[in-house]
Amino acid sequence: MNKVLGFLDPLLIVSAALMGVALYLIFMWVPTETNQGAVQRILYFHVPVAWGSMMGIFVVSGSSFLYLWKKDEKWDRLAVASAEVGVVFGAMMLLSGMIWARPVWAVWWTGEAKLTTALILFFIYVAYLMFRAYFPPGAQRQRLAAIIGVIGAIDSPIIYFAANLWSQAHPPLVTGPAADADSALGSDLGAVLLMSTLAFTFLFIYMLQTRYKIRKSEDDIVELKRASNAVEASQA
Amino acid sequence: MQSRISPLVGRTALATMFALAALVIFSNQSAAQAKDEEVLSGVVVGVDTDDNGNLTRLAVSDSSGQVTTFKFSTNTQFGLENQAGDRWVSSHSDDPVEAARRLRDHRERFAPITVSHANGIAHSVVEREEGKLETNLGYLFAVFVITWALFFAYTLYMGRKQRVLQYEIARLKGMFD
Amino acid sequence: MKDSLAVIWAIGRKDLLLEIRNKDVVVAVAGFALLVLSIFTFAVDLNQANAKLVGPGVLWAGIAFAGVTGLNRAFALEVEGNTLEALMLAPISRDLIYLGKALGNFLFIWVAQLIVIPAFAVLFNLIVFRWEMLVICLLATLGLSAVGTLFAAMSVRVRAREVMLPLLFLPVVTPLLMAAVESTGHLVHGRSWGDMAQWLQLAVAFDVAFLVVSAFIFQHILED
Repeated sequence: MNKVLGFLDPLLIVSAALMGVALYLIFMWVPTETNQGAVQRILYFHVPVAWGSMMGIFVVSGSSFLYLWKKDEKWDRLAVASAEVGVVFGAMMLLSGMIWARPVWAVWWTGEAKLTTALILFFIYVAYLMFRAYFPPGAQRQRLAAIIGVIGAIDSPIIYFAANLWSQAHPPLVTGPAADADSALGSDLGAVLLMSTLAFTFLFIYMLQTRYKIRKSEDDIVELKRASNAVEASQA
Repeated sequence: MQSRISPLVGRTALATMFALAALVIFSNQSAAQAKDEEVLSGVVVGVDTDDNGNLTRLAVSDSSGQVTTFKFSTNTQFGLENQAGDRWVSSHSDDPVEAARRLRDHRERFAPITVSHANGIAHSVVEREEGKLETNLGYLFAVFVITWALFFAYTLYMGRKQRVLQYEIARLKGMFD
Repeated sequence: MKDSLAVIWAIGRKDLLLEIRNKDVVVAVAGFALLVLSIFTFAVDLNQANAKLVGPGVLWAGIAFAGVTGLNRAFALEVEGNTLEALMLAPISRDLIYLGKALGNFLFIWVAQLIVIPAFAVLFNLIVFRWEMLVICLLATLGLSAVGTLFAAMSVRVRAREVMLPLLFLPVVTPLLMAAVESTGHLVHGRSWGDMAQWLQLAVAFDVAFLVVSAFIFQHILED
């Protein structure tokens, strides 16, 4: 019984329902955009995923800061959970962005500011996760990881500013049908985008919660092992 | 116990942070370019070249039959396809001869193009994509397949990990009882 | 104030004396950067136009990658000789230790650049000996050593330190590298202060931000 209910987390039910509504709106309801055609529907996927990865960065830096301040384990767990989910969302964002850019901009990648910033931040948080994997467990690992989280947050506005300046000096060669035409959808687009973003936000929170629980179980195991060792030592 | 932050850094930090904020604000005066571009779609009805074969003028007829003539700047971008669908991307300064050849090819095939322009100068001349919405569906499909596959792979990974850990916890708890 | 500066200088001078004796870091950094430059002289067809186009990027990519090899050594010596504990026991605050170590790294990378940049001018046939270049180098080196010292201290106890440091360091310094490459690009095209002002401002902002934040945050690294 418990096994079946374990799958039916209320957050998962809500995000699945919202995702169903969002998919209906994306594929059945919203009209096709005239400049780009069907491929424009990637927007309703790309933007919410990008929003998810941005939330990931916010949560990592916020909870890293709180960990350095309060030294409470739960902030470290939240930081690592959100870094991992954020990197998964970031990978989805980069891939969907590239596939979208190819038909509408005629290139897979360009030196546009938001693209450069997203890529570099993605690398910083991948490094964050690798650092955690390489460093021996303990309070020092959590402290140092939190420092990387904070540094990444400080760096992101500087990266965006630099990337922006760079793309002004080197205007990207973008000549597809969407190179400079604005979308003609307006309010319909906004409504679908909002719904889709809501669905992905719930999905993000669900994944964050699951990852947090895993981290918590890992800590519990360490605790239990220590306790069992102590029991054995006292018996011997 | 020595304090962790020395007076040298402590006192100057606030001042430097203010200076930094001011610097970022003042240096962020990126001139936002006013966009008064217009977009026109239609078929090519005339291509003019100079004595060396370089493209100089282009005449486009829209769906109501009205003909508009454009000149070019060195920055004008081209994104044009041949009959086989291969895309050619260039700017006017790079290869004006090839641009003229491509546009004449479009005139003969009645292949529609889209021109974005301001003050009679074309900024970009690209293939009109409306007729090929079906080919774009492949990209939409790819996005959904790849990202959902990634999502499910990650969820499965988390689920497996959680099950292993739960088993381990149950085992350790069992050792106590 | 005066005491703080004396402490910073004492730590920096200690590293400097060690370096003068064995010349580990400067030789490693300069040698690595020179190799990168000379590989590019045949990897890319260096006519005048190409050299101006790719030269600045190659120079700074070379210095950044070479800098990593030098920074790897910065705290390794302290840990091998168990002198880091001694530094932590000393009655000085942590931020001064950081600033002293950063001063040492700054001087090493700076001296290495004094070797690399003339070689760059010769290999790429570009005229770079101008006051602007001095300022670009100072700002870039300051930022590289500010971030590099922090991350070197963090990754010194990591398994696979040689891999971890560049993975952490390079993405974070990207804006600084962009600034250095773009201003050097303006320089080799014969342009002056006005064109590179925005990039130099960006480099100053980067340096100040990371010097201050790293000095504040360093206490969490040296904590046991």
